[in-house]
This record gives sequence, C-alpha cells and structure tokens, in this order.
Amino acid sequence: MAAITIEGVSKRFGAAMALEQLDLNVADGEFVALLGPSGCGKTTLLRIIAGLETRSSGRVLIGDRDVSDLPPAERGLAMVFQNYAVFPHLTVFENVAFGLRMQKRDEATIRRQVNRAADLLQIGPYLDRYPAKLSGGQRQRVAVARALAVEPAVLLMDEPLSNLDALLRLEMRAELKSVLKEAGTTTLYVTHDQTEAMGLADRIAVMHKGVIEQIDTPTRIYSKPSSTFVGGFVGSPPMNFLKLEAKNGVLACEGFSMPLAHDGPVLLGFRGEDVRLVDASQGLAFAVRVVEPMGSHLLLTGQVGGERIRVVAAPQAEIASGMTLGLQLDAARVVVMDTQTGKAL
Amino acid sequence: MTQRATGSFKGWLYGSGVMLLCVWVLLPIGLIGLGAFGGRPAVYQWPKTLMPASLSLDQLAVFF
Amino acid sequence: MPTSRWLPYLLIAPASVFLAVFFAVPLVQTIVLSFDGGTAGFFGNYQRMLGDLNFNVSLRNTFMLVLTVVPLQMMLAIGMGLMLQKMQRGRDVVLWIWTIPLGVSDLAAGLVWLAILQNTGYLNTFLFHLGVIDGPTAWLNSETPVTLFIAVAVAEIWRSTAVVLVIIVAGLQLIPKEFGEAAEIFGASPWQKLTRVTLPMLKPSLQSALILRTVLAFEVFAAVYAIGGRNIPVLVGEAYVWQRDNQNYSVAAAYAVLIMVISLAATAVYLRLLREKPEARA
Ligand SMILES: Nc1ncnc2c1ncn2[C@@H]1O[C@H](COP(=O)(O)OP(=O)(O)OP(=O)(O)O)[C@@H](O)[C@H]1O
Ligand SMILES: [Mg+2]
Repeated sequence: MAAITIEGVSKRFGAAMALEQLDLNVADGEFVALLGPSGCGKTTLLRIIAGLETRSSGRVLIGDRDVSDLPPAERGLAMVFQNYAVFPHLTVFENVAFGLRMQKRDEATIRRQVNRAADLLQIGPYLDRYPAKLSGGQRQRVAVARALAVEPAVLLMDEPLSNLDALLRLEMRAELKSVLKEAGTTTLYVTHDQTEAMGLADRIAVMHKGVIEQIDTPTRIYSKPSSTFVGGFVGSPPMNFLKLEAKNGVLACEGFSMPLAHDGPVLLGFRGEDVRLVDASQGLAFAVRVVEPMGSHLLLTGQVGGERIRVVAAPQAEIASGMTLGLQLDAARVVVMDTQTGKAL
Repeated sequence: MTQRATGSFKGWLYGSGVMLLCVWVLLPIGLIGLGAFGGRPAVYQWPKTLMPASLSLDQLAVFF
Repeated sequence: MPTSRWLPYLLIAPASVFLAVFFAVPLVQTIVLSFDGGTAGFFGNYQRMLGDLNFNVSLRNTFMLVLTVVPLQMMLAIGMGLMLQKMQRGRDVVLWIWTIPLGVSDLAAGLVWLAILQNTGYLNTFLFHLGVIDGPTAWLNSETPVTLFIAVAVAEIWRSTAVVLVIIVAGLQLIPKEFGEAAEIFGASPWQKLTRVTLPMLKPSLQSALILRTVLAFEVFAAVYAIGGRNIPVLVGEAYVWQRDNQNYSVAAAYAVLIMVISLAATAVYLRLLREKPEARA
C-alpha cells in the first residue's frame, strides 16, 4: 500500500551536492534504518520525501502515487524532526493531538489515540504540561508520540531517540518496533546509533556523501560490507583492512589462502572477532600495542606489517602490550575489496 | 515556509503584492522629491505634471 | 562574596540616574504643574480641560485614529513580514525599501501626504486626468471630515508601519522553520498554520509592537497638524494650543498627564490580554 520509492533523486545546495542520483526502495510495512556519518544527507533525504525541500531532480513515489510535487500534507505521512519541533505554546496533550485535530477527528477518538501514544512513550504524566517544563528526552518522546498518534501509513523519523538514556532507549526501541510492526507502518528511521539500527531495522541503508553505499539486512551489512567505507563505518571496532597482492588466481598470506579471480593489489577485510589468535610462529605476525579490557572481551590494537589492526580476544586471555601473536583468518569470513574503488570484488 | 515552487498564478499574485507595497512606500517619496525641485509655482500648479514646469534648485538653497 | 550582591545595582545605577534626571523629574514636574490650579483649586486645570470646547472632539479623534491605524498597520505589517519570509530572492532589497519610512519624521510624512492630497495635489491631478473631478477639489478641510480623517490615517499608516514590520521580522526570524513544517506535515492549511502556530509563537513580538505603536499613536500630532491643522483636533494638538497660543502651561500639563494615563492603561490592558503563560515560554 505505502511503499516508498525514490528514483534518481539529487539535491544541490548551491555548488554542493547533498544527494546524488539516489535510489531507494522501502517495501510496504518495512522498517529501514538510514545510517551514515554527520552531513551525509540523511535529513535532506527525509525532507525531500516529506515534501519540505525541493529536489533538484528525480521522483518520489509513495504507494503507486507520484508525490514529487504534492504538498507535505497530501503525502499521507508523519515525521519526527531532528530538533523535535514540539510546539511550545501547546500543552503536551495538544501537541500529540495536533495532527488529529487537523484531521477534524472527534473528541473521543482524539482522547483515545493521544492516551495510547502517550502511554507507549511514557509521557502520560506530563500531558497537561507545557514543553518548556520538560527535559530534552521527554520533549523528544512528545515528538514521537505526535507522529504515532495519527497512525500514519509512512513514518519518517530523524534520530528520534538520540536524547534518551541508554536504558530508556533500549525500552523505547523495543516498544517502537512492536507497535510499528503491528500497525504495518512503513518506516524510514535515521540514526547514528549502529546497535539501534541493527536491532530495529529489517534492512539498513548506509549513506555516504549523498549516495547509498549499501542497503541490506543488518547481518549482511555487518559481515559482508560492499565497500571499505561500510566496513569501516559499521561495527565497533571497525573492519580491518590489509593490503595484499593476488597472483595467479590465488590470494594468500601467512597461514591463509583463497582463490580469487583478480590479479594485483587488493584489500583483505576482516572483523576483529573473526580471527583466531595463535602462536606467533603460525599465521600473520601481530604486534600488540594496546590492550583494552572491555568486560565481555579484550580489545587489542596492534600492527600487522605496517598497518593498524584491531582484534577481539577472550576476556580471560593473558595478553600484554608488547607481545607478538599470530593471526589466522577464515576464508569464509573475509571480504576482498578493490584498492582503487574501495568496492567489494 | 518552504521554498516550494508556487503555481504560476500564485507566484504572480504574490509578486504583484510585493510590488504594490513597494510602490505604496516609494511613490509619496518620489512625489515630494518632484515638489522639492519644482520651485514655488509648482505648489499651486494645476494640473500637476510629472516634470515640474520650472525646474529650479531654489528650494535647496535654503540649506546653504 | 558580599560585593557581588551590590554589583547588579551598581551596574544599573548610571541608567537609573539618567532616567531619574531626564525622565522622572520632568514627569513629576508636569504632574505637579497639572494640579497647580491657582484660584480654581486642586482639579481646576482638569476642569478647564474637560470644559474645553475641543476636548471631547480631540479625545474622540485620538481614539478613533488609534483604533483605526494600529489594527490596520498590525495586519499590514504581519502580511509584509510573512511575504518577506517566503521570498527567496531580493528579500533584503524589499525589506530595505519597506523600512524607508522609518527615516521619515512625522512632520515630513504629513507634508508628503499634504502634497499628494491637497487641492492642487497629485491625487487630484490623477483624478482629473481620469475625468473623475473637474478641477482642484478640497478633501482636507472641516467640511470634509471623513476624507480628512482618512488622509491622516493613511499618512500615519504609511509612516509608522515600518517599525512594526521591523519588530515582526525580527520575531519571525526567531521561529525555527521546523515548527511551520511540522504543522504542514500534520495537515494544517496555510490559514491554520498562521493562526495556530505562527501567530501564537509570534506573540511576544506582537505584544511589543502593539504597546509601542499604541502609546505612540496616542501621541499623534505632527502629521495631523501638517495635513489638517486644527480641523481635526487631537489631544496632543490641544496641549500644544494651550501651551503656545493660550500660554496656559497648567492646562497643557493636564492634557499631557491624561495622555500618559491613557497610554499606561492601554499598556496594562495589552500586558494582561496577551500575557504568555509563563510555563509556555520556550
Ligand atoms: N539549507 C541548506 N543549505 C545549504 N546546505 C545545506 C542545507 N541543508 C543541508 N545542507 C548541507 O547538505 C549536507 C547534508 O545535510 P543533512 O542535514 O542532510 O545531513 P545529515 O546526514 O542529516 O547530518 P546529521 O547526521 O548531522 O544530522 C550537509 O553538507 C549540509 O551542510
Ligand atoms: Mg540530520
């Protein structure tokens, strides 16, 4: 019913390109998280979908309707703004009820929907207050409740939980997910928080400099990044990359080899937790520089050849800085990238 | 508040509103400017013309 | 630190002294003067003022001018402010043009409109060429009170709307654009957006503009005098006549005090009517 289709949308601000020939499909009822560094164009994309910003080229479809030139109100969506935009002159109740009032719903419906949204976001006790008397996190939840109260077919959220403490965020995240699934709301959700994106999303779209680098399931984004950017941006610690030389259809280094239909220099990418730590005499020589105990694991930072590598070890392993260990890679858990383009081969 | 491309009729209506208000502000100032150069007879001249009948700088001499 | 308690008072002291010397003292003197009735008693000057032939007329004219000019110019300025906000190109130039009357004194503004509206003025020339009138026609004397009143109101609106515009433009710029956008997304029509979001959020600016303009409008004088002379008496004009022509400073002071009381009352009304709930302030 309400899938979002974006076809070749570009946005130019003066000389700067904020979005470049961007394509994106969000299926009906799907939850897609937009992940990307600051300034990559996430907010701009949401604003173009919402009709708040003109596009320089391209089309936006919601359902099978071309909404490219429709005003925001006629696009049938709701939005949570990055800076909340909660009306300061209205009480929390009236803020949440705003969309319903504009739709001229009857008082009983308004009361019911507002209370439902308020309960969900745990702002019930503040319904009579004015936003100035709320904390940043509470205001943010009012903004989310205002969007949920109209039960939109399409929901655009710009970092809606960024101001909540870790515990509340975890709770809200679970609530949001179940409510949106149940209602079958098509959701595009901008976040900086990778774990949030991983936990919530059916698919994650990783954006970089105005294009979508990769859109895929969280697992595949994590383990099979399509570019060095995605590998380096997603995951903590980020993916490691080693520069190797492929010869005669084989990519090999100490204690590792795999077939590869490409000759010349390539980048071998692997996750810090996908390596086996062995004796220094086997595998790649890894000189440990820093050992950080993270509780659930040890984070080792060191060098292989001249390159910095981060590796995860078991929490009780006896490793000290200055030691040299061996790294063994698993051919099933690596990605190979082109050195020039940074794209997967 | 958005910069959406307004329909051509709306845009035209809007532009003429802005122009009208500019004229409303500027016209009286322009006319008094004419009066200032018109000299004494221009005050009672009838009907008035856009170019004053006797162009003179006498009125401005008051300042010197 | 004990000194820090006095520091704020110390810092506002120069301004307070300035106000006391140049504002409070003349004010008190005026009030004292207005009650200095000589043989006629304590309220003698006020009785003379009330008994004055022109008093009722000037009070009515002043109120009518305020009630006509202020609402019209508020609406005009809000419209202009919203237009400016929508503009993409040339915004600065248009704002500059629209604020030119700020630099025109009220007497000059009166003379400008006199030149346009007098018997042999530009308006009549225009009407003459259109064939509406046959020759010089008078609009500004005591036989034509309605057109005279309109002329004064127009001149006042022309001259003093720019101040309101400046206040409103500043206020509009303080409202982040996301508020209007949120209203649009949730289905508000342009009119609803204006009445339910923009104007309520603009309330502090509207209040300032209203107070400023109302107080100044009660003091209207020079433009009226330039256009209509005493054909349209107003309160300040009467004070002027009593002071200059009748050489009676006490009755003039009584007029001055009356104008001040009216202004204060109007300000109090605005502050009450437009009071923001303190908790609603962003
Ligand atoms: N109104 C504007 N005028 C000019 N440039 C703009 C405008 N809005 C955004 N940009 C530019 O477009 C780019 C994308 O901005 P955008 O707000 O979409 O980033 P973002 O991904 O949402 O960042 P963040 O995560 O920090 O919110 C930025 O480089 C920004 O400077
Ligand atoms: Mg953003």
